[in-house]
Amino acid sequence: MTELLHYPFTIVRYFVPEFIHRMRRSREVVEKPSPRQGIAMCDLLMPRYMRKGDLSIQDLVDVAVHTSKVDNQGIAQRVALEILMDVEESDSELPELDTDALLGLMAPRNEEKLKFEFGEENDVVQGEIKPLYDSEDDIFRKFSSKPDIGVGPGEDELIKQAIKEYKNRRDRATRLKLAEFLKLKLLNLAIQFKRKMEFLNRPIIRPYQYGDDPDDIDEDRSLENIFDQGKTADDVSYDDFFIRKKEKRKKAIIFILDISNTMFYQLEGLTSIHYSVMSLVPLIWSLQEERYGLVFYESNSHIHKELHEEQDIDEIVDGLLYLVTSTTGDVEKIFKGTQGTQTWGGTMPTMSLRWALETLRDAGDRTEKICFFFSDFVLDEPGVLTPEKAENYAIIGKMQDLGIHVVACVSPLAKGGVFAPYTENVLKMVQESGAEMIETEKPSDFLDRVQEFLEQI
Amino acid sequence: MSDGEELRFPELLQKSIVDGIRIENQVILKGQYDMAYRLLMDSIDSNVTPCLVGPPGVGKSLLARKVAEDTGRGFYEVFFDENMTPSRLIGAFDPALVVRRGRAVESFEPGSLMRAMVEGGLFVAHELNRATEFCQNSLIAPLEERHYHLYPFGMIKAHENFAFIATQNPIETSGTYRLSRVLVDRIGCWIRLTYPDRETEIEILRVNAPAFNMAEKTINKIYEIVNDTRQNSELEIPASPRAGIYLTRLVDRYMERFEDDNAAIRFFAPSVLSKEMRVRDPTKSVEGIINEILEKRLE
Repeated sequence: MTELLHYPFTIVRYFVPEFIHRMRRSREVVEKPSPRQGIAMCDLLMPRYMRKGDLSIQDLVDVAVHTSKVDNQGIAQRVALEILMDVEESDSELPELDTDALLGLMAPRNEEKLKFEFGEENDVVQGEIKPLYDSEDDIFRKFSSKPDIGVGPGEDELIKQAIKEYKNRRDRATRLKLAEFLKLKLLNLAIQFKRKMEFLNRPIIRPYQYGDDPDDIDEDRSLENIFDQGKTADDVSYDDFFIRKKEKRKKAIIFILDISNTMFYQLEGLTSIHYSVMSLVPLIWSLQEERYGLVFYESNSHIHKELHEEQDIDEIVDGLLYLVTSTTGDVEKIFKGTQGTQTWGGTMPTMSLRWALETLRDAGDRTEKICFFFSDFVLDEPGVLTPEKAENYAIIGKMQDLGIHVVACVSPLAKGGVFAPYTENVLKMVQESGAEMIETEKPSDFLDRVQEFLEQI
Repeated sequence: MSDGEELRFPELLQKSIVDGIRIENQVILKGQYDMAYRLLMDSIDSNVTPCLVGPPGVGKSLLARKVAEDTGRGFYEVFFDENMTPSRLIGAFDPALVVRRGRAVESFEPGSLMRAMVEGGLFVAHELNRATEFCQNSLIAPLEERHYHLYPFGMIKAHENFAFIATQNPIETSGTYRLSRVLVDRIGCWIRLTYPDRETEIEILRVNAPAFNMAEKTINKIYEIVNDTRQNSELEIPASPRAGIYLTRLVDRYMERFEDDNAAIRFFAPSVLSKEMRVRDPTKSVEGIINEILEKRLE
């Protein structure tokens, strides 16, 4: 590396284009270098040469490294050394084609399965596989409760009956019809909610300040103000002008949805997953312009959408509605996978909460951070608080400390006769951890409460 | 505020205006800093735009300031966030003056980038990856072609001494925007700064101790404590050299209040080091980890 090149022009003329060429061919480099990088390499070599009267091999490696983006600097160093040592390219060969994989790509796609093969699984809990709830043998049916569900005036009963009627039908066409119907009704509600939220972000009219964009000047209001004051052109100052601007604080939101076994227990024909999804769908649709992430959990956590990831909102809504229009058996098949070795259906929200905390913590100081946690909150055995379970409350508390608002979206079934002994203490502890408690009994009421909450923060 | 105080402020402000802020302490140009400084100088000499990439507190701003000072350039800086607008960066017409004089040069209030371009200064764009797309687009022409089209004047050509340095933080993803490829392509030199090596950091601590007479063993202890936070896998963001400097200054300044240097470090370290540190596991606390490190190093 110490060998000096007193007449380096020939080697530079070879080295620079060869380096750019190899970096472009490299499979490891995602963003390929442009001709500008080659120009920058030559530009950076020139002062060194002028200063010393020669160039060393190290100089060539340095400019190759430093003109490459930080992520690529390791690769750049290797490629530069390979060129200078006259070594063949190490990673430009095309991979051998795997015929099985190709055949797999040509196989017919299973739409339902593909729809739910998102996210990642973590924290797999080994153990006995619990039988899933079977709606035909509903031991909870004898317990009476009065929860109701609805999406707006006059439609509550209609929706409720539709879900009850079609929920257990096995034919796919009926289910799709139900999903379509629900989507229509819920998105109507979402549109209303979104309009209300836009009203909250009404334009603020304030005097012009240096640094404002003159294009934002409200000419009518400004002229009115100037005339009202009786000012002439010579008397006018910049703060006589008004600018009209929508002041809106960006939000980063994580939606956590519990899909554990108890969420599928039904009382009077409805389950907690129904209540949660009916409230979650309009909420997520109306907040789609914010940055948001979505995670489902049971024994495992299934990250459906990362905060910065872009996904079609229709696909997300369809995926959520599938949870209420499909049988629990179908849902189990999707999340359990095909191997049959993973426990499905337990209640382990820790990984999801931790993911929400880490994601929101990194989401920016100027961002309003909110975590909506949809669950029936059957998290603990009554009177037993294991360290793992205690961590859930610690994370919720930590979120509050970091300025993250936690909204516990509680299924009305949580307070029902069966679940009450399990949830009484949990709900108390969640509330004591600082979470805002909102029931998901009726989507319209739920959205009103969310609106009140968003107005406050 | 009383009338008397209000009257005094303009005089005080007038007195406080200086031509340029000088760097008070010596800048240690050793190891990675020597390499980074030379790369910055070469980039500026060659009209290649450099970007310093590194965690907070490793000296990115100081290096940029040092370059401005050593090359005799005016220093202009902007910290990007979502509230930064092109009008603040480039400048905007004062609407009142526009009413009187039209869109004339006198009606234009320049932003710091336009000032640096016209006056030939060094413009430092801090936290470039927090700039909005709107702002990123405003930087493209000044970075590459060294000009900016300003309606209705036309093309503004940058002074030949105009230089641009960007900084960004690889860890701080908070509120960041993806840098557009056209902007990335116009940044010709990426200089990575990490935590300095032992010898360099100890020297940094020493020159930043106000009295310059701190015992070698005390500086070593502070370095070891700061460095231990970087070796601790439970910490996502460890203590920066800047945190080490603050701790050194406090210990050096108030040593006589304590029975020995261990007591002084024990007193100040939790408050100074924990300000920027972040744990991976939410059930652990920064203070707990710092106390563990202090126990180990000061036993």
